[in-house]
Amino acid sequence: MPSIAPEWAQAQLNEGRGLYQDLGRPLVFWLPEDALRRVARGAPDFWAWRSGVYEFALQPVASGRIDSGGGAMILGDFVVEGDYVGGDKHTGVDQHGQEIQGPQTNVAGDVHGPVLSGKFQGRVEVGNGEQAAARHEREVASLRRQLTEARENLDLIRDRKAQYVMEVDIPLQLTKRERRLEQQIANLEARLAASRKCDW
Amino acid sequence: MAKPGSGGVRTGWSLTPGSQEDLQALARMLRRARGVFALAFARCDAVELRGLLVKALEGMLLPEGLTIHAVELTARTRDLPGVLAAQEGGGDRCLYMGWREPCRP
Repeated sequence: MPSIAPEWAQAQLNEGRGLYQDLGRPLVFWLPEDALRRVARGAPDFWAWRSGVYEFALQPVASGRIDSGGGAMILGDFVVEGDYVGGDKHTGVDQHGQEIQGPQTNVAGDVHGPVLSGKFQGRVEVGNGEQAAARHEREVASLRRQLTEARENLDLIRDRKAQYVMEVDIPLQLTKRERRLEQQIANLEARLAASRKCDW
Repeated sequence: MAKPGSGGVRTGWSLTPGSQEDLQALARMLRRARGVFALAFARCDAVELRGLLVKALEGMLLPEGLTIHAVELTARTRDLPGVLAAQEGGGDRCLYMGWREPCRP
């Protein structure tokens, strides 16, 4: 791959990031893993502006089955020559630009595996995108409902607490429930924020 | 699963379900960012596959009047903002940058 030195990223992306903003268009930097890692490290301020990191990986399908099923849209066939990652081991960068090593899921929730060398022939298809979008919408709606309910409950508890003149008179159970709800709300907000990566 | 470095042609590969969802998510992001600055990163270790994915995005967005313009980065690219600013088209055009060279030779 071409070398993308950290100083390149620093000069072209980090220091000149205002110039990209002035373009008034969405920009997608579609890069291999190594280059992505260097951008994250070399241009941290630019990297911080990202609305999402989208990851694309391949998986083996049943032998001989590269045709589409379930109404998926076939985009085209490909032959990739070189190394590829597939399976249960992943090395890359997470959403914060930190290096990920060893078996774990990536930011997209995919599980990656060992580096394979050779030629890979397959087919790119968008599996039922409508189903995926609908599932995502349902998850977001559920999170929002839970968040609304938790906030309402927290308001009720705070109203109740406000009725006590002396703080020492507030039942311990009420304080515990308030803290639990605050924690629950924080968790729900974090999950909703994470879902915006896909929803944005 | 084949052993590393064993060579040969392996048939029967497709995008992971997560990648398919990310493709839809990227399309949604580009729709919502129409006419405004938004920054996204996409990771794909194969240039050939990236080309197909970009075509897929074009297929999703073109009916809505959104076009994708490719800007290839090379090690010699020295004025990326200038190169991008010189691209024609208004806010209905998304720009994507990618490496021309194979990334894992």
